[in-house]
Amino acid sequence: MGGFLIRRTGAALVVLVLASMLVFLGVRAIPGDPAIALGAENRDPALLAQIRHKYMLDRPLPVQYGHWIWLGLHGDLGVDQRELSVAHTIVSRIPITLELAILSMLIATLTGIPAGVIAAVRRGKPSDHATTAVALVGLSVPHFWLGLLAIIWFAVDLHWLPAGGYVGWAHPIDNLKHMIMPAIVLSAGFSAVLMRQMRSSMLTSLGADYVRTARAKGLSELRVVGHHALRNSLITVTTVMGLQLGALISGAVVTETVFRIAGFGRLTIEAVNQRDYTLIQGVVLVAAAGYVVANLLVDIVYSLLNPRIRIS
Amino acid sequence: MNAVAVVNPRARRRRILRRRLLRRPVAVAGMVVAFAFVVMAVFAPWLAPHSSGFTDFNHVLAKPGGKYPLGTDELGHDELSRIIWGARASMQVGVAATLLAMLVAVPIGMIAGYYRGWVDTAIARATDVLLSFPFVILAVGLAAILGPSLDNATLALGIGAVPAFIRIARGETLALREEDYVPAAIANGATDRTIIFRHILPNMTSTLLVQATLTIPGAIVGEAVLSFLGLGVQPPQTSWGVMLQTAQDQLQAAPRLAVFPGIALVLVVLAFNVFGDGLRDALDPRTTR
Repeated sequence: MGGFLIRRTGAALVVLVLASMLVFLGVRAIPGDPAIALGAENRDPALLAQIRHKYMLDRPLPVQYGHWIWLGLHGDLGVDQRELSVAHTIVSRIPITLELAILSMLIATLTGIPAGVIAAVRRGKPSDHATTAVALVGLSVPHFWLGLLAIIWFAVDLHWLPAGGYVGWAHPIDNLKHMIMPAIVLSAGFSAVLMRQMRSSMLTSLGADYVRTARAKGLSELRVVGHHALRNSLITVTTVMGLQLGALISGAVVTETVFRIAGFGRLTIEAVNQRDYTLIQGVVLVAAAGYVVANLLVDIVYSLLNPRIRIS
Repeated sequence: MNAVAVVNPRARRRRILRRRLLRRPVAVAGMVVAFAFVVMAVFAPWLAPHSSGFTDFNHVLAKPGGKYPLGTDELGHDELSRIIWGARASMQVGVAATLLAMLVAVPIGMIAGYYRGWVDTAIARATDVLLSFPFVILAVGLAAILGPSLDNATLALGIGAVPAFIRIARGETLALREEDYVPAAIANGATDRTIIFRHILPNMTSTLLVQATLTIPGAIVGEAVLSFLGLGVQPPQTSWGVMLQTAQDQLQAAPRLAVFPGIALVLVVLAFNVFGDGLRDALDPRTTR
């Protein structure tokens, strides 16, 4: 286990360093002189030289990169166009997105896994066809349109829920009222993927020898399905969860835009629309880091569930 | 002459495939709807009642019916015409992004599967990392560097589809290189390039076709998402994503503006998906029907 952890963490670090280099070079590849942009289009050579010196733009690229990483490791990602700390902005936005992501994963797990199990156990029956059809629709309807429809129905027509915005945790009921609709919308696709995966791996498990043995021992159907088949199916589902991480991040960006939630996802779009390069650089770096770390966590959970992974 | 009827194996396989596909009514319906949208996109100038830039300031936010079957938006654009014109952006991105991904990914995947060893390990690892990379973040990066446009959205979506194609091309090559015709070709003095492109590639076209059919709807949704976020098609050019973005401000006054383009989007995506699924089942020798 120790060796596996070290190998995986090492690989994640390599990916992270490569990603940071890509982000750094990507922002440097943007056409135009950053000094002119930073100097508010003032083309006075003395001022430009001063700006270049201040932001180390007059130094070689590796030095600039090293400086950026060094400051980044100390929690300093520079300041944006409004002279606000990028790190501070990002840190203030992340909890909102995390809440949305965790809530929607919870909803997806609580709906997708039971639906998949039911469909597999009742294979070929109406309940199987119904859940499979709902899942196909869940996969084909894009989040953002589902979000717009939800706003039209539940906010505009029925006045049940607010159309958007965010309320902090200081008001838990209000917070939930604002978050429940976005979380359900974001969970739809994920829930559908989980259901389909769960159904097919449950079907495999239910046909396996150990399930026949369990039945032959006279165990109750509930115990056979719940204890023997379900446990083994959960392993494949963990992999799917890992593969859905990217979709979850993309989905958060879109969902936050639809529901006008000022989270981390919305921040990435704001950064591009404002052409704020320090902010873009910081946001993309943090997103990539979050993605790598989340993948690492999934790998670790996966290896805990399935000991064979650790050996190979 | 030869008394035994010479059966062309490719033609025979095509005939069987057609028969197996036609037995799946849902897949056939998907094919028909998808094809209808392609026709709509290609012949938009003739099918749309109005040009894409047409505005009628006297009928702003008109209700559906009469002169405007689906009503007009806040600028007096005819909704029906805009949906027909918007199909162009969708189809263009869907096809272009898929072709781009195939052009890049198939050679890489085939090299990995054919040569195996460290090349394969490196490519497979990189693919694993990229497979679930959030494409919106990729698109954000590209839009920041190159500026937001339809072409750059296509580029982002094409790059996003590369890992899945690499995986499929690699897996197929790994299996196909064990076929008897590969040592036969080697014995005939064929080079690696000949084996890869003349012997292995033609045998995986059907698998690639299925993947392409399933990649197109993904790219179509991707275009709508990016345009909705302001990272794709820029107004006054139109696409379903742009229409949904502007409809956001009219949810109170004219919620239908947010409904119609979405229905078109779901319809085309569903059509391609069920067609792709049906095609895959028809090609899969394990399914008995």
